[in-house]
Amino acid sequence: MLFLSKLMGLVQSGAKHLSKAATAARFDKAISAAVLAPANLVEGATNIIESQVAQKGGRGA
Amino acid sequence: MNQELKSVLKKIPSEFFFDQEGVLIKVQLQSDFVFRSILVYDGKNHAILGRNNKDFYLLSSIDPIIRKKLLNSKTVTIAENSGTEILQAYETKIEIVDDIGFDDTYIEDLQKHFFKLEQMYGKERVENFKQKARNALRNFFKIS
Repeated sequence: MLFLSKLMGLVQSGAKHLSKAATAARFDKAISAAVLAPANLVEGATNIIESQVAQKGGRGA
Repeated sequence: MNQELKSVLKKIPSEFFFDQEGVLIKVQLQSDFVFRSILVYDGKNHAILGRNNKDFYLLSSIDPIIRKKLLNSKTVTIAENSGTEILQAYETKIEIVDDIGFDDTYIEDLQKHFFKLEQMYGKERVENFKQKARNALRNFFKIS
């Protein structure tokens, strides 16, 4: 389990600032997970269910 | 879930994108200049964005494609938005941990999602929609 003290210790890295315009352009061309979400919900759910069943020894998610 | 951590986490709307370079996350957040940051992730439905050692935000509903990409990435691009305008954009490191402490409610969330769709559009239309979406996903990965 993650504790607050560990979380605060992890925030050590500097944030590398990027151009807002270049980032906006990148978002325009990137694929939104929400667009693929319906397919993911079907495909991904099957994988998640299968892995959960495997973890619990086949006793069901 | 650790109560001390839960008390400082703020849930914010987030959208996940990806391209050839990696994962991008758009968050609705207006805050101070960020000089230190981290994205903490455990491979499941939630991630924590830590800023400047004092602000911690909970991002949720991370779908399977994004999960795999986050686990295989060292950094992620964050865009903090006010509506549609980017206020600041930065690259932050990803720290993979065993367990953030939230249940993975992805299955329950998607079951509710499809139940609502079926109520609105009927089972047959939703099944057709799922089939089209499944085919679109397979085609997408063949092209890329």
